Amino acid sequence: MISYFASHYTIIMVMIGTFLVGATAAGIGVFAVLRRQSLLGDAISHAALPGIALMFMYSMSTNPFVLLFGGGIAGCIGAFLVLLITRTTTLKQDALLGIILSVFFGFGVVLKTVIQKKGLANQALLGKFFFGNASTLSSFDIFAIAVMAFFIFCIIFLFWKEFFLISFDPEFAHANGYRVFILEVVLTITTVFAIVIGLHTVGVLLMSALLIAPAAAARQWVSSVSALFWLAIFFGSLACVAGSLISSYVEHLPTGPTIVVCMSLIVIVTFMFAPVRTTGRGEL
Amino acid sequence: MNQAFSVKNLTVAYGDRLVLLDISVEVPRGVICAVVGPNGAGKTTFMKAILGLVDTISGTIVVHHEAISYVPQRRTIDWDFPVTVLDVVLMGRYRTLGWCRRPSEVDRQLALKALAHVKLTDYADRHISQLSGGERQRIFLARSLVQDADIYIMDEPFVGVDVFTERVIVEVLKDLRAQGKTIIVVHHDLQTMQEYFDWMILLNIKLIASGSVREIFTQKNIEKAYGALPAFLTIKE
Repeated sequence: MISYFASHYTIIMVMIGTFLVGATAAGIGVFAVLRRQSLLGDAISHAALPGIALMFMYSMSTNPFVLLFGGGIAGCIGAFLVLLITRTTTLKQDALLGIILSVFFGFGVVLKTVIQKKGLANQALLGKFFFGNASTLSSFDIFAIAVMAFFIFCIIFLFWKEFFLISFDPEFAHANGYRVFILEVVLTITTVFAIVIGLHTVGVLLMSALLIAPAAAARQWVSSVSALFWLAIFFGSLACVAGSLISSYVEHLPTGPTIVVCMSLIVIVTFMFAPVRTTGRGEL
Repeated sequence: MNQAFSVKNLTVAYGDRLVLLDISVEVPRGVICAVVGPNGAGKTTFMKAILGLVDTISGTIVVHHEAISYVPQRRTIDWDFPVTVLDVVLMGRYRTLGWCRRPSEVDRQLALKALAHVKLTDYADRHISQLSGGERQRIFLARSLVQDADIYIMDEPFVGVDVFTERVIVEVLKDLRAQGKTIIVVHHDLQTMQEYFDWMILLNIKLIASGSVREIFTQKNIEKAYGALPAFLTIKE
C-alpha cells in the first residue's frame, strides 16, 4: 500500500514538474516563433551545457540548481552573442545561431568528457542533462520550477503589449520611443530561464521542441496572438503530462523523449486536420 | 516657433558608403512636405534620422514637437502575423496606454474612428493577410491617426496602391494639415507634386533644394537631382 502510494506520488510529482516546464516553455515560445527565432531556443539550450560542466568543475556540487545556474549564465552569454553579433555584422541570424549552437555544445561535450575521464563525477550526473531525467525530480525541485514559472508568466503578462509590438513591427516600436533592444534583452533572458528550468527534465537536446512545437502547432488553428498563446500552453502541457504518464507506466521509456514524441503527434495531427489558412506572403 | 523641425549639417553613412552629406533644412508647421530624389538618394535614411532610427555621423536634429508618428513601408512587415486589422490600429494607442494596461473601449472607439477615416470600417475583424496592398497601406495610416501626433512621417505611402487608396490617403493628409499637423512623405511621382504637396525637400545624398513647391519645383532643380528628364516629364512652372 505504502509503495503504491509512493510510486503514485512520484508520478504525480513528475507530472506537475513537466506540466510547469511545458506550459512555461510553450508560453514564451510563442514569441520566439512569431519573431522567427525558432533556432534561438536550440542555441540557448545547447549553450547551457558548457555552463553546467564549468559550474560543476568550479563548485564540485551535484545540486541541480547550482549546475543549472551555471547553465543559465552560459545560455545568456550565447544568446547575447547572437543579439550583439547580428547588430554589429552583416551575418544573418540563422547562420550565427548555427555557429553559437555547435561551438558551445562542442565545448560542453569536451568538458563533460574531461570530467568523466578524470573520475570527478559518474556518467549519470552530467549525462542526464543531455536527455533529462524527470523521475529524479524532488519536491524541492518542483517548488523551485513553480516559482520560476510564476515569475516568467508575470514578466510575459507585464510586457505583453511590448513583446507583441516588437515581434510584429520593431521599427514602429522604436519610432514610438520604445527601447526595443532592452525589450529584446528582457524577452531573451526570460526565454533562457524558461529553457533552463526544463533542462534536467527534458535535456539540452530536446528542450527547444517544447519551446517551438506547441506554438507552431497552435499557429495552424488560430489567428490571434492571445488564442495562440493559450492554445500553445495547452498543447505544451498536454504533451508533457501525457508523456510523463506514459513513461511512468511503460517500463524503460525515458520521460523527456516520450514527451517530445507526444508533442510531435500533436504537430502531425495538426498538419493533417488544421484548417487551411491563407498566407500573407503575396498581396491580395 | 513656427518650425516643425530643423536639421543642421546632418551626415549619415552605412559602413563606408555615404548616404546623406551635410543636410540642413527647416520645415514649417502645417505643411505637407515631399521628400523627393532618385533611388539611393537617402530619402528613407533622412526620415529614419529624424525618427532617431539610424546612427548619424554628425549633425543636429531638433524636433519642435514631441509626438511623431511613423508609417513604415508595407514590405517590412510579416503579413502572416496572427493579428486583426483592429489589433494593428490599436498598436497606435500603446504609447498612450503605458505599462501593463490593455486597450479599453475608448481606445477601440478611437481605432474604429480612424478606420472609418481611411474607409475601412468593415475590415476591423479581418485578418491582415486578407488585405490588398492599398488596404494594408490604409491600416498603417489608421494606426498613425490614433496616435494623434504632431508630425506624421510616411515612407512611400503611394507606391503600389490603387487610385481609390491614393485619393483616401491624400484626403486624410489634407485633413491633418487643416488641423495644423505637419506631414512628411517620401514620394516618387513628380506628376502629382504640385497637386498634393505644398513643401518639398529635394535630395540626392546632398541637399539640392528645399522650400515651398511653388519656388523649388523647377525644371532646373529636378534635373540637378535626377539628371536630364525625358520630354514628357517637363514641368509646367
